[in-house]
Amino acid sequence: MVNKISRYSHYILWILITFLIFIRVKSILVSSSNFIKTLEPIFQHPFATTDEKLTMKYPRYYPLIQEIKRLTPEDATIYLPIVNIEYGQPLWALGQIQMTQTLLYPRTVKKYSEELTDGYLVFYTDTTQGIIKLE
Amino acid sequence: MRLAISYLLGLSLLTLLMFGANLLGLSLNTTNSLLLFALTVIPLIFLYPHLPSTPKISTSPSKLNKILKGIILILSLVVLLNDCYRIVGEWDSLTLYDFRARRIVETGSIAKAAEIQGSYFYSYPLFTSLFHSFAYLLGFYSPMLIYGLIFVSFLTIYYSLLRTHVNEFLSLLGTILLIFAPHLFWHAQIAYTNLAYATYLSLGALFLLEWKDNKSTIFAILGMFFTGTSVWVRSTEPFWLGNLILFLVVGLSNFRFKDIIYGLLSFYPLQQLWKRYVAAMFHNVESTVSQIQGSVATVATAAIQPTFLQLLSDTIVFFTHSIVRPYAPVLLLFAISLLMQLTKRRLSLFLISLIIFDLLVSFIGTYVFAITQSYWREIPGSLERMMMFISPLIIYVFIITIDSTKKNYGQ
Repeated sequence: MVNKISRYSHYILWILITFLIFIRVKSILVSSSNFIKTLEPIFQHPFATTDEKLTMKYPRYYPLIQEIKRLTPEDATIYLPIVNIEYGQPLWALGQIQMTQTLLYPRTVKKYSEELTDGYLVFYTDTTQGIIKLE
Repeated sequence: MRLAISYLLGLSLLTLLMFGANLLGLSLNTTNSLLLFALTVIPLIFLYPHLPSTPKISTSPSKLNKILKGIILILSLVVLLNDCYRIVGEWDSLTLYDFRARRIVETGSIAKAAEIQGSYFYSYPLFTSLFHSFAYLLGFYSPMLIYGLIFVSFLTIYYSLLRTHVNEFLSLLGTILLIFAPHLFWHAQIAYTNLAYATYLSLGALFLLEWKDNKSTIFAILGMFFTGTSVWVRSTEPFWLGNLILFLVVGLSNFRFKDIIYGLLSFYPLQQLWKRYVAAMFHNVESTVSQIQGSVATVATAAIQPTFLQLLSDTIVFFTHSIVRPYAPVLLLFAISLLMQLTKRRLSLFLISLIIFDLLVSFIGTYVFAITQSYWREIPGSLERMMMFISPLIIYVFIITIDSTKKNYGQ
């Protein structure tokens, strides 16, 4: 058995390599289309600032973050609505307290609760989003 | 290859120096970081001539090889160009690695940055965060290019190591397969720790393989230092254990005691560093042996529970979904290599046993995680990324196996 495999080993090898190339081509094509996709912004917006790049990445969420930063002092407390937005949706990160806390630092970010103190409450609808000052 | 090794060594040494100097009270500002950079470069200049270089083997020019070289060059440039443009934007990198880096830059202190972030700060070692800090302190708006250079260095060293064993065509083919291995190319363009981890751990293993074959002490030191650095990148995964066991087995069975001492001195401080630091912060010291004993005890206890078989079957399904399916092309290469080994026994058992060991560890680790953590099913992506280091090892085995058919394809 081993001798037979040995005699035909390089034929087996070439069949396997052909198969391998076939399955890799799919991966290569997918990756290649990704290369082109990832390179697109470089040519479309070569001089984009960090904020503009983050807006491209998080189209509704990051402008909201910038707006909150503009409208609130650095020591403010920001309350996030209790939401369960599916991953990949424009505002999904609103449900991620860690992410919002990171981007709004040094502000304090908390989940909405019944016991709200002074601060700002983030709201959103299908088409708009913003903050309300809590008195 | 020397430049690529120097870059990876330098990155490790610089972050270690930043960490150590800050612990001793040196503030991490621009001037001090430049001073530490100089302190990193000086020993590297002296070390440079002693580092292994790419073998100079003259070959007849081949069109196919030129095309392959062109593809590798273009893909490397795509990564570097993209990294010059990109910013840190992914969830984990924004909330942990980069957040820590920015707070370190603001406060000049690791301890103060930790106070701001709380216990989440200690989730992973500071390797990537510290080179982010270094880039920001030097005025760069993004540290992404450092990731691109890690990737290019990885390709360079990988090609050179292959080239010492096989012809140019197969070395280039292996390097291209590496570029297209699951996740690697993409991870060269995002600020996660997985690329650096895969780079240091797999190159550590390949340097040790070289050391086994050519007996040069420098490979033992590099192999164990790179393995240690992988723990400085991600400390929770136990895959360094495979490299260490093989290093000790090869060293002890060949009576290479001097190399063992140098290798362990290059490895042990790095392996202990983050664990000791976190333990000191939380006043909780647990040795590696007791951690392993704890895992064994957990598995043994679970084995006598009535839910044992159900949990084991769930783990197998999860493992198949998270590891076997995404890495199917690479695992297929491994199966082909093993089949070929039936007929040609050129390849040492070193890499094959390491790969099998690492796959077993990942399965047992998943099982331990399933026993101990209720949310274990929620991390399939994390497990998949964690195993990125397996592709370089398998592709290496595959290329060496093809070469063992003694056919000079492409030449």
